[in-house]
Amino acid sequence: MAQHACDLTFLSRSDGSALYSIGLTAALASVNGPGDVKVSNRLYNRSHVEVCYSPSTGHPMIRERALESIIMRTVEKAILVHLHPRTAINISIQEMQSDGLALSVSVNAACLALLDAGIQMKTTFAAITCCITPFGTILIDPTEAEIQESVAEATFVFDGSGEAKVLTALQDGHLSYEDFKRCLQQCQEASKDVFAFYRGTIEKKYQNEIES
Amino acid sequence: MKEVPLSTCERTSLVSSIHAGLRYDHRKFMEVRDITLNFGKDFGSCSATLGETRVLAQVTCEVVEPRPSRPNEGKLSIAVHLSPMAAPHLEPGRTNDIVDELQQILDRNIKESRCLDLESLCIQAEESVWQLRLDVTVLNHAGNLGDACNLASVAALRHFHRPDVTVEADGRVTVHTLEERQPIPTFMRKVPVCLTYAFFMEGEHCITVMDPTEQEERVMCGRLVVGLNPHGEITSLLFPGRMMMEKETLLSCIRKAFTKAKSVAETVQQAVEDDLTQRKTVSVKPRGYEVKNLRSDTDYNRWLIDQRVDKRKLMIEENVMPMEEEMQDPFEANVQQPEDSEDSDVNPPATSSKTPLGPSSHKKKKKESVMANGSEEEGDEEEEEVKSKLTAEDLL
Repeated sequence: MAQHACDLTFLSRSDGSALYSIGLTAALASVNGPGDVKVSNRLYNRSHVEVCYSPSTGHPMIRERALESIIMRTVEKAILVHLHPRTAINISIQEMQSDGLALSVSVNAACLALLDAGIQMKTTFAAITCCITPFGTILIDPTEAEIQESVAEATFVFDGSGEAKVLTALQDGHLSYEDFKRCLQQCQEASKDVFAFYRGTIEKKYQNEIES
Repeated sequence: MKEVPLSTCERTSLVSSIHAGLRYDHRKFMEVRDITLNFGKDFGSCSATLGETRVLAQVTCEVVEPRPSRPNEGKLSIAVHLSPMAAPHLEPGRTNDIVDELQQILDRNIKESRCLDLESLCIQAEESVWQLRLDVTVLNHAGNLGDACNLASVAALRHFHRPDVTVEADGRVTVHTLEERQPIPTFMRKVPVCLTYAFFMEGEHCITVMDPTEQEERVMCGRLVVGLNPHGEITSLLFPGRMMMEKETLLSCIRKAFTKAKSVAETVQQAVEDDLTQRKTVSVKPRGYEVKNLRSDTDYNRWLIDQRVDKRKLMIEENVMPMEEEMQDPFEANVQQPEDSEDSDVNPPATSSKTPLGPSSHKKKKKESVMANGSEEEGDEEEEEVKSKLTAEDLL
């Protein structure tokens, strides 16, 4: 597994922000809200969640829109949206540098930015990406080059309830049912380490705040 | 989300403190915030911070057909992006006044000043040329976006290397990957620098402040954005109305800008060169924007406070010093020296890029820190004061 690292409250203007990196992939997420909302987006019973993903080069295109919608559906499941009716929560994600793990880094950055902003959530969530080599071995947190050579790539998002239930699953490439099950199991194992890392990061944040 | 307006008491307090000669962040009027430049793992990616303002610039290239009017020149396109990340009231994908203005500043400073040799980007006249695309994304809007964007863009362009190409006899163009052949650096003749002044009117008197923060930008009467290079050329001047100003004030601002531009340009050049030489000498691939390489705004603020506390301590110690110095024997005086050198680290000169930023710096890393002329002068004055004290005592 590649090295996970995170820095909370990275930006001064946002309510919560996090710089998250797995290996050489890094993304910056910032959260604003719950705040006021455009009339067209105002929902009477829940808050409107908006996700904005910007690539490091060029304008957002189909790939970015697809990522946005995946992240939004994941995040909406976790946030207690009904606590803040007629509001908006805005999540912006900026790709800093990419080495194949854009989705899982963005999801994890979003989760920690939400925690940093203090937005109430049902559960935390963590994304793990793995790929299967032509020889059938499973690599957790692969690099761009490894993904290029692999036969299939899978990303799972798990909730932090302890049972590690699947919130989102996304596959690319040729994957048999047996392989899928193996991937799921290994990612589930790996997610435990990520949740432990989350815990450490948040503990460090509040420890600092109490000390100062 | 709507922009939160500044309350009347905040406004008056900010303006009156400036009239009293003070700034909210303890800076001198002509002091620029700290500049740091970090480079990504790939060529042409730079993250610049100016205090809390943070900008990401990325250069990419592709082979395209040249313009029919300029068949032997490459192309350069600049795009500025502002997302709600920079400030909550900004909307994604929509151009607003800030984007338009930044676009204009960068276009004039970088594109129209012709600091980049576009002819060197030609592969085959009338057939194929390189197009460089510069994407500038504002990550945190804490005032003075023009300077920060210009810094990041220039550093990214200077850092950028394009892949090597070969032209076959039949006119086919092969682009070699970065592993196959040594990539070629971009050739930039001059380093454009952008400096911003904010003006506050006190009756007839005009107060000039450099590098305004976001709050200062909201209450200022007017401002001046000067684009220039250390060779004494002005590339752009932006004075967006709202106030009347004496000709002399304007000219003196520009004159001061030239001295400042030299140190800023040196910082950029030094930072880029340091990173490029490191890439050449160290065989390990650069890690780029890792968490430990970038400093968060919280850490920055903590570092500023630490620095201020250190300075205060130093001042208190200096007041006590003369009593102790009489007791010192030569041996102890020698021991004392390292501490002195540490003290001078608190105000590092612009060129000391490798030394850590004083004893309280949180992260040891390559980082350029430009202290404004003001603080350097102040440091010199302090030193002189100490010297004068010493000589007086020696005589006694």
